[in-house]
Amino acid sequence: MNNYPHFCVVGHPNQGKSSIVSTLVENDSVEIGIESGTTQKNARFEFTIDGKLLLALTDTPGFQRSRQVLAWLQQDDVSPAQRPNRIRAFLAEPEHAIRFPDEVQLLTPIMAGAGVIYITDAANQPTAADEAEMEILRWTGQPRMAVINPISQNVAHQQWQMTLNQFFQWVREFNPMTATLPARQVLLRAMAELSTDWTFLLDQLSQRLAERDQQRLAAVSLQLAHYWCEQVNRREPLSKLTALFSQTNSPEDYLQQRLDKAEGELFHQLAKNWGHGNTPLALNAAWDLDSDTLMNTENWYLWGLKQQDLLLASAAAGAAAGSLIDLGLSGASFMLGAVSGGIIGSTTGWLASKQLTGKRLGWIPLAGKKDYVGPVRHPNFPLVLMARALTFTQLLWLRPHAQRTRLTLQAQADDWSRPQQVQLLNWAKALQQNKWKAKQQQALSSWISEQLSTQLTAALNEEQRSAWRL
Amino acid sequence: MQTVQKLKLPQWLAWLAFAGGLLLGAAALAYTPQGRINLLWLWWLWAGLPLLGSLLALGGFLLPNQPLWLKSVLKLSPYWQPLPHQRWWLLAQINRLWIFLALGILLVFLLLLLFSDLAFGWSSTLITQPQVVIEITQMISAPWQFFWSQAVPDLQLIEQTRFARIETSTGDFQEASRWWPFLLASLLFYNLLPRVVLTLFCGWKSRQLQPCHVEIQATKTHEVSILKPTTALQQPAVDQWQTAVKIGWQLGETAATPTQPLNLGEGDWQKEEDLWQAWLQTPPQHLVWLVVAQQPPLNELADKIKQAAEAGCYQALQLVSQGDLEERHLMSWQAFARKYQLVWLESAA
Repeated sequence: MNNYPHFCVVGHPNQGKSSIVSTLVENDSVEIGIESGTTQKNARFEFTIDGKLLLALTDTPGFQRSRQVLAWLQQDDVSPAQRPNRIRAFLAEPEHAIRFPDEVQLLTPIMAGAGVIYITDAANQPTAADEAEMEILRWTGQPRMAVINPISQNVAHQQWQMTLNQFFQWVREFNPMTATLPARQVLLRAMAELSTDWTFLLDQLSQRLAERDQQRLAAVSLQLAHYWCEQVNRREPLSKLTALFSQTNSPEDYLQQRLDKAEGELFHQLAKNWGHGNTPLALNAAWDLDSDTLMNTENWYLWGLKQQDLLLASAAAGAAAGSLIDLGLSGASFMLGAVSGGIIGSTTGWLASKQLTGKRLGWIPLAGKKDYVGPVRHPNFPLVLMARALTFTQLLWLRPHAQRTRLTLQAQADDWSRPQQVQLLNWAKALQQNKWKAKQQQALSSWISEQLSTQLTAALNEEQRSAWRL
Repeated sequence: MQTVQKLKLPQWLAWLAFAGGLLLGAAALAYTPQGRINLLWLWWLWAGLPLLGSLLALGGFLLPNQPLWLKSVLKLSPYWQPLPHQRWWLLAQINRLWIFLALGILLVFLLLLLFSDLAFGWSSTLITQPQVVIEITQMISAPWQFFWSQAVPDLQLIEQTRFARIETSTGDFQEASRWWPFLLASLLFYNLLPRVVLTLFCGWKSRQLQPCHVEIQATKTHEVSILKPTTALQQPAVDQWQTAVKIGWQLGETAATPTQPLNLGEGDWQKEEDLWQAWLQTPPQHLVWLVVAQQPPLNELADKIKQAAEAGCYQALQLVSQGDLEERHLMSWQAFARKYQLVWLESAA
């Protein structure tokens, strides 16, 4: 037996083995075919946490000639203790790799020490082929459990349950199309019970996955707060070049494009980080831009300084020059040089800001105006922005990796209470008026974390209740 | 988004801190017109203030989200907030910069000890009694007095190295230079060591708070076969198939009818195989396979279809539905029919 838990996901073709593997390994790149026999070779996945291998999972092709294999195994009369050796003898026959490629593929890792997770959709009464598969797996003598994947409407649960109980240590139901972490933890716990050698590592894995989710919640809250602040305060400089390259008809369109791009980047990055890199997203945001307040003009001085920067820079230069005088007088001037230098510098800066407009150094202008589009001041914008980000995060969080449908985002900001909406609008106002403080940033990320936590906990609790169906 | 970015402090900051240390060290060791370096002032600058700074840094650990001022140095967005492990990493980096500063001072001190004559003395308006100074220096020397006795000042040294600006005596150089081990030890124990300890602590804390790195990797490629419909399903010529022989596959005993000579896919394989091989001795021209729509096609059936084809049978496939027919079932059987060039007959009730 391996010193780490290793399980093979086996079963009849087209029972959703790869779907279950995809959800368990949190990876939407596992190929899932609607047709039977999609998986032709074993695919092994390893769960490592901080470099330590805690679980290996092998997706296998389905049994194709189970009755024939069982007939071969039963040709010789062997005692139950000798049955695993009989399977080894079957695998050792060179011609079997050609005649029974699927069975050889799936039995090889099992006979090397892997446990068995037998998948069935329990849609029809068990057939002779199903029974042969289960019998072969019993002959392996390896720890094994059965998982019912409720794909079908018409289920023969009871019949299957009674049959499976005869062949497997545990029987669980697991729906890869709805399963979130609690359901996966239930499955991991059942796997952990199969062999005491594996219990510790599988319990550790289950615990670390829960920890990982908590850390993920903290990280995504900071990330969403960061994104929201940037979007609320987004203002894009306009120039002739921008107009030329952006391929948009108007500044509003340009801003819409930039907002969409930032949203798309965030959502795609989250999807990629959480193993949903292949999930097609349908975002289609239609922002309320309030075009009357979108255009803004700002003065600049000395190739990029704003008026405030200019005042600060000239005051600092004046204070530095005054400090030299103080130094020359060995402090006898009681810092009057620095103070008066600062005052003179800032006054000069202010006067310069008035005088520089229209002046040139050779052909280079010393001051000018720059046009911006944004930030969006429509009162709905911060609410819709936040609602979309939270909804998307929640949808993605709860989305099992076996799902292959398009993720469509439809967000409503109406669910928030009046005080919450006012709070968000106040934050947006503070941001747009440059009165944003670190404390507000912390409060915002805490608020996001609380919102996500409340919504996710409700969904996950429901999942946890339903995960113990069998 | 920078929240998940790996942070990196620019290398020039370390060099800047080191250069600052060199300047501070050189400036503090500059001789005054009295020809003496006041070690009380020097100690305060090199050990007292840095120790105070270390204690304040320790207090700063309690402030949430500090040190955010580093955001501008790291060129991070003003809306960026550190994760807990990133915050401790930033604190470790700040302490590392103080270490570089201390190393700069240390280097200048050692160089000047080697290449110049440093004469130390002490001078104070408030402290006039050598006894007070010895008590203070003994207390300061407590960490190293058991293993570095040369770095612990004695009463004779203190009495002989006191100086005042109105006195013109230059004193005994041998005595005046004996202060350097004390200063060196102070620099090491009160400046460098606390910062090293703080750096190690912050680094440890950062590692402790690192999010657990769950990695789930495919170690072998997943070989899949998505069967693309390259050829259209063969449509039947109705007349040919109305009288064709039908064989059941996994239909169950109840589903078998007298018109079906065989119902395969059930029970003992070897017995069934013997029956099948015997039946193949006189194969019909047309053969219809009746299959349960809700069961997936198996290669075991494909083997038999190949054998029948080799025996000269022209074959068709007809689904028998035993419940709701799902798309996955229909597509699987259609793909199977295409693959083995079977004529597709409409489903039987």
